[in-house]
Amino acid sequence: MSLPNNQKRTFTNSKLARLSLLIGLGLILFLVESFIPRPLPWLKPGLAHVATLLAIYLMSNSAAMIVVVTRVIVGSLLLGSLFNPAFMLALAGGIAATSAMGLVYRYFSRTFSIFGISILGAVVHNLTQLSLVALLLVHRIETFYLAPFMILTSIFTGFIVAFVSYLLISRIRLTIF
Amino acid sequence: MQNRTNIFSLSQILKIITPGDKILIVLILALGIISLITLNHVRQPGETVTIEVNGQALYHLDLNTSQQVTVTGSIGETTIKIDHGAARVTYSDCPEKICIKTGKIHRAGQVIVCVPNRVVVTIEGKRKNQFDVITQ
Repeated sequence: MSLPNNQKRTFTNSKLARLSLLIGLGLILFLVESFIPRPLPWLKPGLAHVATLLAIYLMSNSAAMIVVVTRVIVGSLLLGSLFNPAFMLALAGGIAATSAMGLVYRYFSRTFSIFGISILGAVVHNLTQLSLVALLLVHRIETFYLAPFMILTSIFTGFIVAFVSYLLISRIRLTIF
Repeated sequence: MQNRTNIFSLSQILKIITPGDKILIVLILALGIISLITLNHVRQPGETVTIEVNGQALYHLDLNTSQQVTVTGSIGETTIKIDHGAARVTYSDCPEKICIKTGKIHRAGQVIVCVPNRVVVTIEGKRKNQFDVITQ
């Protein structure tokens, strides 16, 4: 199928290359993070969202969504958890967090810096997963007793993710993107 | 980045953080602390242990009687041990052993969940609306 000449090509080679780079980055962080032993099962820094933030800031919201969905699918394939409950939770949390961060970046990027956006994303990610666990998997309202701890640790982990992303964005922008 | 500012420094980060960020952080902090306080306030001491498999309650056990129960879930067996007023999972066929790592639970509302095996262990207190005193 040939495209008409006047139609803008939305998927250029350069875009494809940059997307792949970010998916690769997200995948590596996702996998490395899953090998680090965690003191509590739900406590995870969420470093893979560095790739999401980079995609939002350096490319677009749709690119960020592609990065997250591909990262979760390929990452689960590599970890052997494709289509199990953990995969569903990762996918749902990732999509919700990316939507929240993308929308806030598009409409309120003057109000919130990357730190605010990242912390918001972390909170949305955690609460989405917690709600899904409570509503779909275990049907217990008691699951929400974890919510305060998740919200409080989200501030910390969101901050770390934002810091890493900020360092990367300020350097990458000059070279590749 | 023409100038040689140290981007690792705290003052540099503080320059980036907007007032909106600070408000957001304070709000989330407040939300966390308020939910922590309210949830701890409603929480009661545990009385009974309920063990659910695939959403069906199989056992209602007394938290103060030492005993051990093995249930069969979706992928294998899970062993729950109750002693000294606390419950914990001692054996599970699931791959990640999150239920075992959760450790002991003893207060009402605490849960151990084994997602792969579909086993939920819940501590329940006395029925709700047990107020110590009501002030006006």
